[in-house]
Amino acid sequence: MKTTVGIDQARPDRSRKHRRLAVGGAAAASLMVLASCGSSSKSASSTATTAAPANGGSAAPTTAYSGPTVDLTFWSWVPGIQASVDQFNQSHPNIHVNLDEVTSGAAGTYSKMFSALQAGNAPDLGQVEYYALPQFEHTGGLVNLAPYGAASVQSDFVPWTWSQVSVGSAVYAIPQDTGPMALFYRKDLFAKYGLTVPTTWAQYLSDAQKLHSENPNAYITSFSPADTGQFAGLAWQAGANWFNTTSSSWIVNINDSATQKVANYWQQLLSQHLVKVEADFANGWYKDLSDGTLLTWPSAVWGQNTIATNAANTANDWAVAPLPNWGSTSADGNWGGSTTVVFKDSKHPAQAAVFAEWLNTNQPSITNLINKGGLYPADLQGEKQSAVDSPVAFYGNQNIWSTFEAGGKLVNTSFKWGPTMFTTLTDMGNLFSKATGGSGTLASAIATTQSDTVSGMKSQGFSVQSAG
Amino acid sequence: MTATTEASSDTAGSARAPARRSRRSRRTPAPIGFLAPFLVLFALFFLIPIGYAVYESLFARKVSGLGLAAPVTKFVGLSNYSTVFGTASFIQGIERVLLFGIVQVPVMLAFATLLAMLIDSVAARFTRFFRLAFFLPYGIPGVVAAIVWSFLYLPNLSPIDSVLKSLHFGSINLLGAHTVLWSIANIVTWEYTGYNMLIIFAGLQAIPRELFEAARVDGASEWKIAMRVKLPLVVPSLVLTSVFSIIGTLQLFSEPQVLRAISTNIVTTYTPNLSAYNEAFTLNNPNLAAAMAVVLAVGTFILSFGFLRLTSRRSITR
Repeated sequence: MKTTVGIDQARPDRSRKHRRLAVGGAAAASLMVLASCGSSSKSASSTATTAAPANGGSAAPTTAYSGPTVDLTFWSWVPGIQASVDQFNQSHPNIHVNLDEVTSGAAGTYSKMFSALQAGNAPDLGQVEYYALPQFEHTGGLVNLAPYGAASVQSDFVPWTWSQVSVGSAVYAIPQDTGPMALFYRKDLFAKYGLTVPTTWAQYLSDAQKLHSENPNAYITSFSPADTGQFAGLAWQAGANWFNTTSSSWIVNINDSATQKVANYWQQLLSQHLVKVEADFANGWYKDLSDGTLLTWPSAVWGQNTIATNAANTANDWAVAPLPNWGSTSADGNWGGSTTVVFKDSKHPAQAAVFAEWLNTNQPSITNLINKGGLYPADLQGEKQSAVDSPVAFYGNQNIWSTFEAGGKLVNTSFKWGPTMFTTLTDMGNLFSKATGGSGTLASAIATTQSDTVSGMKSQGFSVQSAG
Repeated sequence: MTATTEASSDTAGSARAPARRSRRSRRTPAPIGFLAPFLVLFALFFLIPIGYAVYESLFARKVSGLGLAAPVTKFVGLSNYSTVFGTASFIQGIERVLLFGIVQVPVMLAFATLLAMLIDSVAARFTRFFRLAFFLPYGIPGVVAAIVWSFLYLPNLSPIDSVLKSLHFGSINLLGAHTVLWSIANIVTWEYTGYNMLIIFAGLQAIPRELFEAARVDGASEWKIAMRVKLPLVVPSLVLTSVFSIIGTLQLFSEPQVLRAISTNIVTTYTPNLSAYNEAFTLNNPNLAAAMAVVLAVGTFILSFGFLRLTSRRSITR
């Protein structure tokens, strides 16, 4: 579901496809949930109020509100989130949430949200991905949830997600799901070509070279220039720190040494024709995943569903290993994930905050989001639910989740997105396309993205310093 | 046209003129009433949106400092326009569609004229069938056509590619940096040739047949009749189809947008229309998008009417 990060936002069909994929992939699992829902739906409301205090008292406002009934509007694109909303409405008789199903953020919902904010009639609640948060925060569009008990749920979440949603003591969103990265690889073909599962990027390169000399038609992986979300995740892993703030201005550092290192590395793979340049999440790419043309995919946790759905014939052939490292330091990156926000136009921010916190910390709600929405929860307790912590048949009964869970704990907590991410990532994708099309390099594309971002932010009136 | 004027002069004749005069003197609002539905819709869906786009293009949203407060909409005069003309990728998009038009429009119209002449020729058989068959691609929505073609272009799925390979012509990447524009041109040509053919064919049908007989009596071959009689007389249709094609070319959108999903060589600023769309709906800058749209509209206007002026002047001097 969270693939929309940095993906090229002008592709509505792709995100729509993803929604479908998530639904399809969770279909089997949802049978199980339906069964379990039948028995536990009655207890859902009681667990909501009794379990939460154990997590730090987040249920205090939940039980406190008993005034006149308020109506809230919620814009989300997560498949099956209606079931969570229904559960909430049942257990909170004085708060009624109306769900508006919208297309995924990058497919037009974000621009709709910005227009609504400008017109002063934004919904009470919305779905916003991590990378898009600063753009909403830094245009005064979000309500600080700290006064509404948000800080009390901090310890419920994977640490890096909390630094994404908070600025100082202010909390602008409640984390929902994440996309910790790992390496999907074809264990059958690794054995066939005599490759070792790489633990460092240097080994990954030598695997790529060995593979290509054995079979020139097979590639270690693909490179999709427009999919900057993947690149951002890899840079994040390498220690990049694209944006920072002082008390009065932004510091833009997209062209830092970590990002240059990653750009040069992939340029090397490209120049030696060791990776296949092709658009990901497209039919040709799915075929390459199915027929052994591509041996690995450095991707996020939701990628498990992408492979299982679109390369169904490769059951038992794939396995998951931690993302290769730079040298000896273990680190991970994140690709995707989103949050629940309360918009400034809400007349009932306190009640909206209750819903945002409940939605993402209540275990039955999380069960629903996992099974119907295909999400990997940001909630630590949620990560222990059996649906995301048990062997997966498609992956030869490997418990792939434990790799992602461990990865999520290694994600750099100081990485920040900037306030013009749509422009920055689109610009980067266009420059990467030109680089793979033969003009320029990934490294020069990064340098240009840096200067374009700085000048773009200045022209919008931001106070900016360039660190590059 | 001619039939009605003849009929009216036959029946009413002189009696009609005074009646019309008296009606005019009463100044009934009838004409306005009849025009009203059109005028209202024209204003609502044409003039007002254009006016609004022009208005929006003169503003910009500005933040300050870290930008923690809501942005302020400020009047910035023509500064969005200077940004548009200063954006290299937008200018490259314009150059790209111009190159596209210079190559694709003549090829398509030549092809359409050829098909129209073939159907119109005396030797043609099954003309109804062919007319429909050639026109059929136009009936398929552009997005659907682009999706179908995209499957034919995908390197590892394309039958075109596998046929070329089996004939040992080597592999060709139809989605490559230098080929994808012409792959798009192919889709557009496939889609619109039949449509243009139909307009040209109608033009051919309107030519009095006596002219061809006269030419034949004078000993002209069918080829000569086609080149010396039919072609010059069908020029108005060609002008019309050229103007339509120029407009269509500048507004190129759905084909590159669909192919973006499979090609790594179509950037979000590939055509001016894609730039404007992306600016409005992805980058959340409707003001700049409005300026782009206005520039594109004015450019299309200049090119279309420039072409019309050029062609009408030529026919006068002739």
